[in-house]
Amino acid sequence: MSMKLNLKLLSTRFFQAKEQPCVPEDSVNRYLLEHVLRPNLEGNLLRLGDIDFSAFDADDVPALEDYYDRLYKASEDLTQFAQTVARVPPAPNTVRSFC
Amino acid sequence: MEDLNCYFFHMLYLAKKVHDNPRMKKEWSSFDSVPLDEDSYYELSMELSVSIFKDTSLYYNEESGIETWVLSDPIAYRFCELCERLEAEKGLEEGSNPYRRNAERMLHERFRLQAYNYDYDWRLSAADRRRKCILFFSADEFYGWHELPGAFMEALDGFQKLNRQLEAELGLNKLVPIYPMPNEWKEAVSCRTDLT
Repeated sequence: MSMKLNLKLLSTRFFQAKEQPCVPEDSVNRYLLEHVLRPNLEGNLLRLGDIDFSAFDADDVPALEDYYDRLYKASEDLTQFAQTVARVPPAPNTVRSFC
Repeated sequence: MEDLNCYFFHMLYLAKKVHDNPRMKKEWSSFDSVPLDEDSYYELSMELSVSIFKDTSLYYNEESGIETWVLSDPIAYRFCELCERLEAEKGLEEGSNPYRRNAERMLHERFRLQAYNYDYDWRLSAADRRRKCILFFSADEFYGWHELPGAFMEALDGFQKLNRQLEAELGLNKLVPIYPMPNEWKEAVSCRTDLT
């Protein structure tokens, strides 16, 4: 089964899309997001002594986990989409499209 | 994107709860070097589990494969002492002491773990010989180590709350200043009273 992708339309849609985080960050504690989750996602191992426990509440942790789950799902969806695009073989135009 | 295991969040939550518990303030610095990762979660849980009660002893029975945790603490001792005092004052039997029943209910709630292959008991009666303690039994297949620090902490918090109620009932918890009030403060208080 062959698949066609209109890359021009895709780039237009990307261009039109609003610049915003793919998962809302409103309900996430800023300290946990920037000083705990992000360093870990970037592969930097944290130790308990590095954490400022006064900067968040215990209830912020389940909210962070929920945010991470949604972020991971969005990341998987994006990866799947990129793989789909990569699998489509390029096809030559039948007519010349430039001078 | 880095795949973080749910243990990452569970460990962070546990660390926060323990950090905020006033009883664990002194011990907390000894956990500073523990990395926030899945491998350290079990280690942290075990370390915390044996640190929460002032005195924790573990005995492993090779024949049955059951490990017995003997957990004792001045807070639990105080509870027994206050209960005995109340029973003596009011002429109550242990079985009809509402604080003992509340303590049992509290322990049942705290030890309701998601894991299985465990049991618990207590030695809090005046008739119990040796030290007053909480007993926790875990079989070889027990896997709920990470639940123990929270359960143990909440059990002690529960005893502390009951102790405050018992002290109020016995008329013991009168506010006594720990430090003498400096003269400047006394003057400030009297000025404030004059103004009102």
